[in-house]
Amino acid sequence: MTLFRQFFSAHLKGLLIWIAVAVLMALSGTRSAAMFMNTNMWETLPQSVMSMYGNVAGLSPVDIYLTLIIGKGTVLIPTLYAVLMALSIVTREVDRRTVEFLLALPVQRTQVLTARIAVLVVNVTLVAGSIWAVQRFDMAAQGFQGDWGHHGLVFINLWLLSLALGAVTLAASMWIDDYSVGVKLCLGIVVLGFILSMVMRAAGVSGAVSAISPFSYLDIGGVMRSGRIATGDAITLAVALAAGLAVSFWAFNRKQFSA
Amino acid sequence: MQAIQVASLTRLYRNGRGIRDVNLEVGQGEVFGFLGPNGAGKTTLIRTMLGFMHPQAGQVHMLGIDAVKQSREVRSRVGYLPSDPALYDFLTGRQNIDFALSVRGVKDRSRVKVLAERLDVDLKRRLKTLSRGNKQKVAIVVALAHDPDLLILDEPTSGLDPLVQEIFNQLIREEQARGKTVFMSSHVLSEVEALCDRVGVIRDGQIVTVDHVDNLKKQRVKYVKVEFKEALPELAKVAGVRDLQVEGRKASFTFHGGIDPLITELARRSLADLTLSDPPLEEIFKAFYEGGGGGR
Repeated sequence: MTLFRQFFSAHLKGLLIWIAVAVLMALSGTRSAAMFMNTNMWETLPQSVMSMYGNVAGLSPVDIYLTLIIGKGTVLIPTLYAVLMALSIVTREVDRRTVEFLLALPVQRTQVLTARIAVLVVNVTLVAGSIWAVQRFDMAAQGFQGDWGHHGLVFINLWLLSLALGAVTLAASMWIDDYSVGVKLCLGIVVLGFILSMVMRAAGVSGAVSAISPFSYLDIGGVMRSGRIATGDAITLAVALAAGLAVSFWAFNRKQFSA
Repeated sequence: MQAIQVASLTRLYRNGRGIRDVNLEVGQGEVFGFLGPNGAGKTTLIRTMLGFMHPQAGQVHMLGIDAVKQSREVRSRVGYLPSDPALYDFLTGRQNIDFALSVRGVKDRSRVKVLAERLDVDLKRRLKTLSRGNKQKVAIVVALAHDPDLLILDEPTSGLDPLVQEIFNQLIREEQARGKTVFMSSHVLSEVEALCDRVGVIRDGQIVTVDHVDNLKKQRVKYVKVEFKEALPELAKVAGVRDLQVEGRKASFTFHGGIDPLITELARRSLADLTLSDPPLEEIFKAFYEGGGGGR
């Protein structure tokens, strides 16, 4: 518990900033809902632009709007946060050499990693949850009734995607001792993956090619429409999460902390 | 029971450096100095002993416990002070110490107050606002606060002013008087001379000598001052003469190896004065560092 508390308090300030950004971004979306609904803007947008944010065919106007505001950038907040958190678990400690202080204490490496992964899960849940809560309750407060059960499932899918990205980043970070290099590399890959997924959706690319982007495993429109996360997406993300964690524990227990 | 037993320990880096087949024993209640030039393997040995690095071969026992297989148990009884300690900058000194003690399950904070007063360190300030010396003081409190049975100190006084160094030396002597074992690497030979019972020297990843400080000083390195009544002979040609300095008919040098050839050479001359003394510890270790092996 001490290890959890220490890592949580170390990230508390950052967590509050990320939640503030998430809430502001979510509010900027929900507060524009009336204008979007009243002007039937989605009917004037080209199909390719609509597709960039997700397949919205067959959805109600409120659900189309929710799909758009989630897909246009909201997804980046918990995913980027998860990647940064994952890099701070080991790489930042190695880079700042505080890992020596930690490892000189009578703790197993597995305990250290478990406590820190638990903080990552809690914090990503709080960041994703704050966006969900603002969209859910601010839209309802304005009188827009979406399919809130399906909307919640989209966030579970997003939460799973964020954790999977965090786990894969954590695994990769075991071989990255320079924090700034890790941040540039991992954030670059995530942002590139996001842009790639939007471009592929706009171009109608699907199947194996689209699988290269992690954001392909979050079909916002599909989940909003069907009320279920695609089995393939859920399995892929769960496998990535499990594999990322397994590699992380394996590598961390074997890592040599030289001078 | 030995406080530290290192047997055939090997941990090599990809470039071939590291430590190779290191054997070492440190008795309980002993203050052991560990010396060597930069890159000789001092920190690698300490890190391997503490479980930061896994050995490729060999064994380490500390306080009778297998330090590789039961590293956690060992670390619960060891205090570690790195050469350039990095604690959590966003926390205060007290928060860093409280964190370490909480993880160790130590509730008694009485030693923290005593140590902080002795070292004159303000524990209420965030680490990022402290000077290097004050950070080092906090790290000393972290290393000693849980009253460890074994202290492992990696160049502990770097960054400390002379006054605090003296307080630190007193603390170490007090720990030894209480039966605690201290293993310290250092570049400060006067500190080693003042504190340590025995000294180990490492060069190129291998222990080249382990001996009592007094024995080492008595070894086959002598500091020689000689004044001739006649012209100076060519002392530089005498095997074992190093660091020769000449002033008129006076010469001073360190002599490495058996003393007989030097006495034979000097006996041929008419001398005004001759002084043979133990050299400063630096001279002895320079011989080890440079590969001379101290003339053994």
